[in-house]
Amino acid sequence: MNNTVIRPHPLTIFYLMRSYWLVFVAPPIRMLLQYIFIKEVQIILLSETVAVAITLLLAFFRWFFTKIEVFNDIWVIKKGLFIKSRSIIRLSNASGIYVKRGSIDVIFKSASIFINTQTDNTEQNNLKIKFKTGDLEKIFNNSCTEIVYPVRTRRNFCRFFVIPLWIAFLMIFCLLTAFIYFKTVQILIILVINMYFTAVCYHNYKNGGLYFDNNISVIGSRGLLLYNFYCKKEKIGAIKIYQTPADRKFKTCKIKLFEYSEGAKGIKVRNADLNDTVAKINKAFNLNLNV
Amino acid sequence: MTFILPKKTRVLWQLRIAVAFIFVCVIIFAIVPLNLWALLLVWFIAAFGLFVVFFYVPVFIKNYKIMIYNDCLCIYKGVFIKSLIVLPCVRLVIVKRLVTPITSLFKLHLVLLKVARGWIFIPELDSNVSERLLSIIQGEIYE
Repeated sequence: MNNTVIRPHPLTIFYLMRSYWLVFVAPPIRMLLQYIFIKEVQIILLSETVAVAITLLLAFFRWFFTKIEVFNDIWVIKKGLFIKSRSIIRLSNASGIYVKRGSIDVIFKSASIFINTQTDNTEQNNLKIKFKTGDLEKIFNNSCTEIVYPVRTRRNFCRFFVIPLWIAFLMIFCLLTAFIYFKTVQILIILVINMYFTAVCYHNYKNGGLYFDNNISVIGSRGLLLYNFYCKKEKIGAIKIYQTPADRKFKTCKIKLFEYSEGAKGIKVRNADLNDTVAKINKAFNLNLNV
Repeated sequence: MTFILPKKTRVLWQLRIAVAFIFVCVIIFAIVPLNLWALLLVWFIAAFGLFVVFFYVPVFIKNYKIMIYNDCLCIYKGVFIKSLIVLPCVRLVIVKRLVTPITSLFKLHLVLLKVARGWIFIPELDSNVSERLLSIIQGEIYE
């Protein structure tokens, strides 16, 4: 049996610190109250410094003493220094696997994995861990041999810039009427919003894949986050295909898949080619849809 | 196999929505002092109501289709944003049929499907059609 032992990514330390959010929120609140009532602010107190240091140390130890052992289909998660726990998850019993990557993950070469165990939505009963990208590939090669990475679907370049184009028209209108109705600040806000939507649209254009067979693999995005989703065909709960008026013009669609679970997150692929998508669903589920 | 919504459903929904909009306008007249802005608001709501009753509802009912292929239930619906929902029949958790006093006058039944992450409402179908749909879905589940 192949045995791979992996530790989570160091960024997990910051993720673990969120349980102690009060330690970080209390000092600014304390400073604000001091300013309001006494008009005198003490920037740092010894007790607060000690509390932050203890929090950091606790999070570090929790990260350091967490290990994941992968034996093919079985994941063994070992946690704890004094109170030790050992959880065993069989991937074939999970309803779906999500892998999430954001801008920070791209910089630090990490990815978050979420395994839905079909119970509820709590972290206790599902598995959520941040790995290094290299380790994640190693794990998937060892344990998920049936997973096929989806090919990028056919995309329509013009469709992706419908929203930024509309915002650009709004900006031109603002510039033309700038002296009468809009101030510079408002124009700058619209420019920033347009840049954000352009970045999101380009991100959606570059990423998005569908693979339908006995196993389903999807690459979707939400904002600037990238999601990979894997599950068996029998675990799919529902598939929804949407077409807005812009999608009908460019013959594209948005597809959203839900696994069969109350805690299902769902994954969306934007602006995939309609005919291609429907053909893949027809082939995988033996249907005769004609949209 | 394809099922479509009957004309009675369109009439029923047009009546419901018309009554709702009339009720809203009456409430506005009762609460807001009578002036130009109140009249404009009521005109706007009435115009929107007319649009919904005489355009949106008929097109929605006309576009609504329920198809059963192999062991999948497919629902095609929508007016401006059109959607197609594919549901493997074995993944339907609960299938419910609902009758109210008003729908029983029209001999219509509302069907509700419980799937992962929520419910899907199928607008009122003829009673014999809804029985046939439920028996087909039941057959697919137990085959």
